[in-house]
Parts: sequence; C-alpha cells; structure tokens
Amino acid sequence: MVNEVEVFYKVRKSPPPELDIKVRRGIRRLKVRRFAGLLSMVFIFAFSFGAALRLLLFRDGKVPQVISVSVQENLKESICPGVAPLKVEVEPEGVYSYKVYVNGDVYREGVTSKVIDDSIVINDFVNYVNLQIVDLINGGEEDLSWFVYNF
Amino acid sequence: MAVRFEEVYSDYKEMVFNYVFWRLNDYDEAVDLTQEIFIKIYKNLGKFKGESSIKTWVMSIAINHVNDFFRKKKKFNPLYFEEYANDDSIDDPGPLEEMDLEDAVKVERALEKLKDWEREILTLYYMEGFQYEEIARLLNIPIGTVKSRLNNAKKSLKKVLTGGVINGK
Repeated sequence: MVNEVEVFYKVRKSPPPELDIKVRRGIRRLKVRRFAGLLSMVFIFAFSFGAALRLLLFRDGKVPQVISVSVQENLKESICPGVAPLKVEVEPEGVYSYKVYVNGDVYREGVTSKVIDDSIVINDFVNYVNLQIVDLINGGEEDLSWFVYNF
Repeated sequence: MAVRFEEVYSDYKEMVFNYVFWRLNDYDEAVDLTQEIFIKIYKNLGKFKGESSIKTWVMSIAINHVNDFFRKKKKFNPLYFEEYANDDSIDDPGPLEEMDLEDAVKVERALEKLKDWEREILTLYYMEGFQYEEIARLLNIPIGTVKSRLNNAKKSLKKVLTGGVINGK
C-alpha cells in the first residue's frame, strides 16, 4: 500500500532544459517587438508632429506674419442709401488677394498690395458684408464682417 | 504588488508543464504551450493584484491557454464534458490507496488512457495539490461538481488499472 499523492508525484513530468532557452528567447523577442513598437510610435509621432508644424508654420519655407486689416470705422454698421463705400487698409504692405461677400454672395474679388478703395452697390435693407484677405506671399489670412443698412 | 518573473518561472515551470503535459498528453506540444503560457504570464505580470495566490493565478492562465488551444483545434467538447461532470449518481470509488498504485509506470499508462478532463482534475488535485475550493475557482464550477468529477476520474482510473488493459501496452 502506498500513498496516492506520492504515486501521482512520481508520474509528474518535468520540463526539458530547452524550455528555459525557449522562454528566454520568447521574452527577448517580445522585448524587441515592444521596443520596435515604441520606436515606430515615437517615429510616427515625431513625423506627424513635424508635418503638422510645417503645415502650420511654414508654407514654401516662409513663416506667415500677422496681418492687420483695418476698415474705415464709420463704414461699419452704417446707413448707406444704395452704395456703401469700401475702404480697407492692410498692414504690412505685400501681395494680398481679397474677396468681398455681400449677404453670402461673392461681390468682388481682386488683388491688392495695401489699400482697397472700392464701393458696394446694395439693394437689400440689411446687408452682411464679409471680407476675406489672404497673404499670397507668406500665407496668413484675415476675415472681417460687418453690417451695412440701406434706406 | 511587485513579483519578479524569474521567481514565478522557477517556482511554477514544473507545475505548468506537468499540467499542460497531462492535458495534451504530448511532450513536444507541451513544451511549446508552456513557453507560450510563460510569455503570457510575463506580459500580464503587472496586472497581478494579489487577489488570489500567485500559484492560482499562474494556473488560471495555464488552464485558459490550454482551453483556447483545444478550442482552436476544435478538440474541446463541452457537452461531453458536462455530461460526465454533472453525473453525481456515480458512487465514490473509494480511496486510491486500495488500487494498485505501487507501479508508477502503470499509473502513467493508465492516465494516458483517461479523458482530458479526467486527467485535468487528477493533475490539479493530486499532483499540484489544489484544494476543492481552488479547483472550483480555477475551473469556474461548483465545489460539488469538482468532487463528482474527481470521483468519476478516480473511477475511470481504477477501471483502467484493474482492467488489465495497460499490461499489454
């Protein structure tokens, strides 16, 4: 008669020494994979960050500068029977394209270096004027809106 | 809870390998699967919160991995498994001391003839020393089912050992 646990213990199987090597190798592979994953994530992040930075800050190698657009003050919220003057000054001097929208429709577009001296023929009672200016050299842009009333 | 992988590996490699071997009954495949289990343990060691003993945690990973292996190979048959496991009508075959257990080779050959689940319960209880409660938690079954599975497995083992089938092998 013999203790059953002892007998079962005798039939226990031991792993071969090669298991140690296999496990060590597997873990090394896992570490390499993790490192490669981390490296590629860092690379992707750096690449995306660089690309985004380049897209935001550099256009054709030039840094966009802050442009200042001033509309003659008394034209904003003014009452202009039939024709509203459009007097705009852009700083600094450069090459700018502009678009004037009246109530959502393009009214005028053109190119200027500094000053827009124009007028808008208005038909509606309330007119929403929107001016979009793009710096063609350095890539900055500016957007201004105001109301003009016609009666 | 900081646990070093090297310690876990040296403490439980025998337990895991033995369990996997007796589930698969294939030495080479057991080596490969044990390696995969320890890679899994290495990956998840940081998640071990100490809610159970490290031994139970390691064994639960081994059990799940072997079950996945069978599932992938479509060898696992839960219906067959439950049919036997829930059959409480089978009488307790009595302690194994009464059987012819003196010859370890005979027992080994008899074990090879048992079903996967029979070997599993015998391995967990006799070879690895898990208690009923621990086995119930590991296999996600009630304690009563653990006991009935153990009885069934013992009965099958007794049958094989006394049947003289293994002598000719």
